[in-house]
Amino acid sequence: MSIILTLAFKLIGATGDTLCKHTCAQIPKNMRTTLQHFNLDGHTTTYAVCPHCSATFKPSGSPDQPKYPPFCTNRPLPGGDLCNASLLRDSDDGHSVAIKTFAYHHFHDYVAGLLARPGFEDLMDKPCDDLMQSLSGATPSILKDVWDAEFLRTFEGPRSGTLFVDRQGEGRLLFSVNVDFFNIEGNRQRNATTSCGIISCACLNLPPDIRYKPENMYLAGIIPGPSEPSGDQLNHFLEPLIEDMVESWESGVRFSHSASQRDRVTRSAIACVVCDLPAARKSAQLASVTSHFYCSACHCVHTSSLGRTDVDSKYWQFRDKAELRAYAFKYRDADSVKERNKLFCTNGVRWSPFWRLPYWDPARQLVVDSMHCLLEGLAQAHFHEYLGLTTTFATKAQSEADLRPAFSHTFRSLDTPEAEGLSKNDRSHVESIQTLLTSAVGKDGDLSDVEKHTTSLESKLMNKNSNALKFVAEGLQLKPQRKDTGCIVQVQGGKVRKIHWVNTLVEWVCPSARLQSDLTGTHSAGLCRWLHAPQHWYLHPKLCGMFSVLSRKLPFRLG
Amino acid sequence: MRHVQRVIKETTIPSWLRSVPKNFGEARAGTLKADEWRTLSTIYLPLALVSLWGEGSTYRSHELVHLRNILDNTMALVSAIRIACSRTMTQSRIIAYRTCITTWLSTLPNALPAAKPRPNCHMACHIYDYLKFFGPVCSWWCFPFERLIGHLQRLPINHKFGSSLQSFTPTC
Repeated sequence: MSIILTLAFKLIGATGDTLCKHTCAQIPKNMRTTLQHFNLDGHTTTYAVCPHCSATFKPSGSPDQPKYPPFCTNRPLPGGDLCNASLLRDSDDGHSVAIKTFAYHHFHDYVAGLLARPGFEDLMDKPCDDLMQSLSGATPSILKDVWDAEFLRTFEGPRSGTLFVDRQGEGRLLFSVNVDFFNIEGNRQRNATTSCGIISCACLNLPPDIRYKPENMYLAGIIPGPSEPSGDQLNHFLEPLIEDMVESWESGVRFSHSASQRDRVTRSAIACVVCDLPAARKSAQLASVTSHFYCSACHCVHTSSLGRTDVDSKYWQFRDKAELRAYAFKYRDADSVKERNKLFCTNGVRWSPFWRLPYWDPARQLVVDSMHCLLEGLAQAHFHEYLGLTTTFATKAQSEADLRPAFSHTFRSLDTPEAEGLSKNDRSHVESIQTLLTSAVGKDGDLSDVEKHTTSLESKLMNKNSNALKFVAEGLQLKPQRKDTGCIVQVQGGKVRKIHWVNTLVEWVCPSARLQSDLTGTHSAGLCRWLHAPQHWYLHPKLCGMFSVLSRKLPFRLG
Repeated sequence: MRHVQRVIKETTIPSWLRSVPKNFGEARAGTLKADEWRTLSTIYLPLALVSLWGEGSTYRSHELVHLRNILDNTMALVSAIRIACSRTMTQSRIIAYRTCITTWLSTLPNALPAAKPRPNCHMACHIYDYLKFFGPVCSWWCFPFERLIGHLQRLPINHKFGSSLQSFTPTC
């Protein structure tokens, strides 16, 4: 480009020489200077943040080489010492730079950007004018947007007696503010848990389809991590935005140019603050949701009354904004930490910069976010926790059901005189044998499960002491039996081995003859008899199935 | 549980509806997003639970009474969520929302004695007031802001705090 220009100037002759130099010097050499010439960048101020108390300090000097005070001059606690933490560190090139920074994108700059876009002014004025026209009529029966609803129809403007939407030739802009904390590295399991904050706004004047496009939203700043500012430290980050908002509300902001006219005055207001519950309480500096003052909107207090539903009673009335404002100012002006704590405990209100806005009414404007509250809060709590619709819950319920005995039987007690000869080990074995004998068959109640169950029962019983086995079997008045070519016969004479007792006990639980008859389906009149002989309940697959259902406390936890 | 997963797999849904994890309930499904909860709680779970505990249930009669209570309770919450998430609001819907959410909350101790009320339960009752003040939820819920956060999280960063924050701001 510069070559073409030089050649063109050469053609004009020597007279164009200085002009040529001048013009060529203005041609940008790289992308950055090009962008600078178009003035596309947002205007930001980079504050230095105290790493200890999160106080913010405005830079002095040129934007390229900002100067900050070397030490923090904030007094975090009333009547306490100065924080005095170091704000600066030496960078690699020898300059001193702020340790922690907070870049604030100027609100007025964002509004100027909106106004400079052709067509946007009309779009933003239209809802105000429409609302003014419809005010004479009744409230629309179908509410399609925030402009149809009650709040804006009654929201009073900076001049008392007139509504905010009554433009009087000015631009009137409404914003919803969002403060949220997130993990900048993404929410992965093994990531470091860092938490950054974000302060962003959306202009409600824009029609809903373009309102939330990223280019139309305003990102005021990102609260630096790695941890969330605690207590009233968040105030320092909100301060610049509120400062601009107050200015814009009280005196209005005059823009020299907009897309269609000169000298455009706008006034802006925060219509609502949309956050999840923890961030909402933090930004409004009200007591946390888990505290005594769990509700930011009404007079309901104490966590034991969380489930109350008497919505028409006087406790559900909105908290009065003048009263809350008085509490907040009292907190700010308190002289000592002790007094502040006392005020916070009795009122549940701290000082927040939002109180600088004359119209701030946390009960109405600090909305409960339905996405977090209903969808991520209640739906998740109801289905995952209250109903237990998770596999972990289901398997837990299943394993509990498996552990529970399938039937009860009064075995011979260990207090009887026959038990005297048993060692301590034998006694514990007796108990585990009794549990094994009453344990349930697999959950599906298949006949193959019954067979599997008997084999595993047999091997488990083989691990027990023979004295214990003998004690249990004799308690059931059983005689030693042995397996003989698939049939069970009494042991007549000879030495009684452990396996014989095991066979006896397994036979007591699942008589092989009955198993056979069930397999062939000849148990027509069996049910009543089994009720009298509970140990045989296993054998019927349907009953097994019923057991696994019955033995669950909450039957809907399905495997 | 298997029944719920089967319902999720087998239900035919219009293509504009976002899908939900087929392995709902397993730890592997991860934390569900708000939108997934909306789809689940207004479509899949009512279908699954009504078919499980409603008319023609295979449970025995004395359990059925209890299960019916739980089902009614659940459906009150589902209706409340459905009403709250609708794109337009009318006076009757706002009142219906309040009826549903208070019914849910008041029958909760009876249906599920183990469930402890949380702050969210109370705040959900106040959504009624905000529906009245600000109209349909689309203009005052967090979805767009969360999406903005999503944009930020996807930006390439150098894992150093501070140096990147300045560069975010002008781009938006």
